[in-house]
Amino acid sequence: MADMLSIGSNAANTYKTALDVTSHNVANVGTEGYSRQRAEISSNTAGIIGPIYNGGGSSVDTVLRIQAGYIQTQLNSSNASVQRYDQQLQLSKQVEGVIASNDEGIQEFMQRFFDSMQNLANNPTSDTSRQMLLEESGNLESHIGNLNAVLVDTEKQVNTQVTNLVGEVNDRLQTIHAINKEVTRSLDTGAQPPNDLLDQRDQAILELSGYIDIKTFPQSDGRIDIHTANGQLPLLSDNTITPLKADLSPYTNDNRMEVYMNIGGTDHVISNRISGGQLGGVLDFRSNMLDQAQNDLGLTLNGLVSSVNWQHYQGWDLNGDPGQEFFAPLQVNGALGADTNVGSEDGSNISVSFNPNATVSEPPYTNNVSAVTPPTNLDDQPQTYGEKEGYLNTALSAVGEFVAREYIIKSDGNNPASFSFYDYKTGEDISGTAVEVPANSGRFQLDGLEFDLSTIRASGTTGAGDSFLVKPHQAMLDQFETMVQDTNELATRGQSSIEATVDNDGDGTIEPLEDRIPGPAAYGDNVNMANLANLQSKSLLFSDGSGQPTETLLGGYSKMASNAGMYVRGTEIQLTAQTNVYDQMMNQRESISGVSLDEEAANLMRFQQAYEASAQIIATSQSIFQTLLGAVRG
Amino acid sequence: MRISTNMFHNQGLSSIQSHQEGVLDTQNKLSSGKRVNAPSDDPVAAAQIHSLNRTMDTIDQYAKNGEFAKSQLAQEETAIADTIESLQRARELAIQMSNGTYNPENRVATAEEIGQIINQVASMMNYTNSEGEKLFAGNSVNVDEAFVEDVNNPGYYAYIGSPNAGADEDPQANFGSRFLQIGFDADNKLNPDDLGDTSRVRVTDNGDKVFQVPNPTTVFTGGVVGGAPLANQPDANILNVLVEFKKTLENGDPPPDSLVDDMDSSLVQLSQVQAEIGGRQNRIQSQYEAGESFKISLEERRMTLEDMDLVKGITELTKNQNALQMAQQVFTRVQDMSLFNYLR
Repeated sequence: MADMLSIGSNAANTYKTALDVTSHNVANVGTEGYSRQRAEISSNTAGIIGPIYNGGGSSVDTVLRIQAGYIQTQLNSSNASVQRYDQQLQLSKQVEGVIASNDEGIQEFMQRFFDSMQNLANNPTSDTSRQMLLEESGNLESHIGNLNAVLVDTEKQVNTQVTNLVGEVNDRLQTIHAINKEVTRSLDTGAQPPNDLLDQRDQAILELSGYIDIKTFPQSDGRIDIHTANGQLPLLSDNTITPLKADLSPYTNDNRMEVYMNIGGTDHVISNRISGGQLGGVLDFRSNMLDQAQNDLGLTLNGLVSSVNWQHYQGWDLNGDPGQEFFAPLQVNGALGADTNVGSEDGSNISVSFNPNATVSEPPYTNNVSAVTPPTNLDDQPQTYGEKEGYLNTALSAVGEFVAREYIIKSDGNNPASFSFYDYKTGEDISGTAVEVPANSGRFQLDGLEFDLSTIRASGTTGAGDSFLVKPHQAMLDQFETMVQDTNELATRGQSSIEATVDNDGDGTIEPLEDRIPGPAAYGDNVNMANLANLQSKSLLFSDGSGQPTETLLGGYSKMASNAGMYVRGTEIQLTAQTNVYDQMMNQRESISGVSLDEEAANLMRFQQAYEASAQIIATSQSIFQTLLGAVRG
Repeated sequence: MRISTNMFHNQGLSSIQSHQEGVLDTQNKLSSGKRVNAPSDDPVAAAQIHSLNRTMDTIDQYAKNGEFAKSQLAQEETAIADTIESLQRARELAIQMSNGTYNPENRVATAEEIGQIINQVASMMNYTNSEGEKLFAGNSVNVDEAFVEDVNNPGYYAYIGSPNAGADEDPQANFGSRFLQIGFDADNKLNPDDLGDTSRVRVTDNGDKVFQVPNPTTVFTGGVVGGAPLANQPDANILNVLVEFKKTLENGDPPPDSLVDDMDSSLVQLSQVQAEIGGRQNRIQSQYEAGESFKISLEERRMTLEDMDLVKGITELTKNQNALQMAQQVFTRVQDMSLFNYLR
């Protein structure tokens, strides 16, 4: 039964607690992730004295943490997006600045390269003009070299980042796991929820969501389970952590860090399933911007190298010799074998090159003119100028077939083996467009390139399902090099006109141009250089359905640059949108759980007054008692 | 809605930040003068800007080609004008010498002057341009002489591409003319057929075509009027007509009418070549002007795509600045407001 004194002392205790809670709130106004607390005060059960209910004063039932779980979930997911796009933006802006800046980019170097060809066509015997062309070619080469170095550095940077971020994720998981255990323990022992511990856990989870996209699943015993990949892959479940692992991709020599997770006893690559947080951002940047830009740029260079080389083969240099390789032609020796391959072949016997007239005519040509069609020796001059032009046109249309992708070659393991081809990124089966030339040789023409598998075809060194990765366009970024050193070896001269009035084959009619025997025109001729210079304005790349090329070489570069630009722009827009969502959620969280100092100040006054009043009750009770004692004493 | 203390802070900070971003962005655009500084600023415009820049650069290169072609043509023009002048003098002398009032001694003396004219004309026909190339040897620009001594007929000249050049004969010299590109080409291809195409202009000429007498009437006899024709007739070029003229005078004979006729028809032909060169120069000029006016419209297009509208930019900057200052002031004001200020 409550009397005045116990009511007073209870009330004093109650408001003391309320003041403590208020102070705690004020003290944590700057604490990240803190949820305000409130002392829940209720009146004590009334005692019945005769017919009256006599109130029992007040006490603090519990200290309540003001918080809404759904907001926390939304915060986690928008934080994952914000961090992802932020990371993407930083990395992609860096790359954009290097490969696609408007000033002094590749397009300027290419333009100057072609301009110097025009100058040489004006004045084909001038050694200065010849030297200029080689200089400009060298400038282009060193620019590409610098650029490739930056791209390779970026690749390394991405690898390091993947490793570090995986480490961070695992650390956070440990923290959350530890808090989970403590929460369960304190819930088991005490009736009071461990408010501040819960805040800390929410904060740790929010930080984790900045590294990787997560979904949370609160359990009945107070634990929280955490899954990634849209809730499909458990990171923390049943009190067990499934740590992520950063390791090189299955194509070990590719030097590409991937994220692995142990699922059902084996490690699986889950890189493409991570869609949020900084890790998601880095991975998305790598596959959709960095790889893409390297392939697009490599394709443009492959187009430049192949078309310039073939046009150069058509002409003759100042010494009257056939034009040789202007640039080092594409030659990828060795594909990357997967480390799961069972056969002994490591991919080093696979090669990829540009050889559009394989087994018919494979320049650079010698001075020797073939007497038959097709030529006996593959590097003989074809029998007529017309045929030679025909081979050039085949080569140029092969350039139009280039596709900016990476190739997976799979063997069926038989001897002789059959092969199928896949797009590495999309997994699309592209074997249908591969043509074996000649039949059963293991040499395939695919997307304008020759894949030479002849060595491994009949060696029996591949197992069923063995796969090999090859990146011909990225390889060109490494290989790009000017081959012509001597200015006299620039093939400025075109086909000779000399046979125009001569009956070449003795059939009684004068030969039309296309039936003439290949031979150099006069010393000062500029036809071949004029045609080389014209490659700049010629549509060569990206043939449409009818086989008509749609882009010039510089247009191919522009396409790459605007693809890169669109990626950055898209990321910027996403970042702004997601930041707004995040701010909105943060505001809501603050509105519900944030500490308001004004509110606390008001509470401080309120509870202080109540406390003073409670003390007054005790004092009054004391004086009543004294009054009573005084009356008795008389 | 309940307002927590941090919300004041967050809102103030984020609005300051967003205005700062605005100022930074406008500052970047204003200081570069460009609206599009990287493809991400406007990916579609960036591709168009690239292509416009390419086209304009290419037009510039064609203009340079045109300049070079003009300088080459000017040299050819000079050489031909000089030849015409010499020929006219030779023709005057021929008409004088066929007049009966001159005696053989006069004619022999005149032969001296013709000799000088021959030297002059020969040097023009073997003109070497500033690049050290023979102007009238087709594309065989590296030969020593475009017109060499006739191996069968000493004293006469043979074009380097003619069988009369003997060991020096270079059949290539009969073909090939250098074409320079002065405009966009439909198929981006120059065929090795000596015909060129409309986007290009020819800068070299085949000496055989320029200096060959059209429909020649002269029968070369070694200067013997009415004498037996030489077994191997020299090339019917204007230089050989002069040589024959000189030899005739040296023999004291008046030059036959056929020589004057050939000089006349050669003069007509050379004037035609001269007019044709003028025509090519005009073509270069009009291509240049067309290119320039095309460039102006491309440049306008590029400017609308790439360049920053300064008035708009500065307005934007002022707007952002004001907003930023406002946000900063509001922030400090709001931070002052607290109930604790009144708890004393």
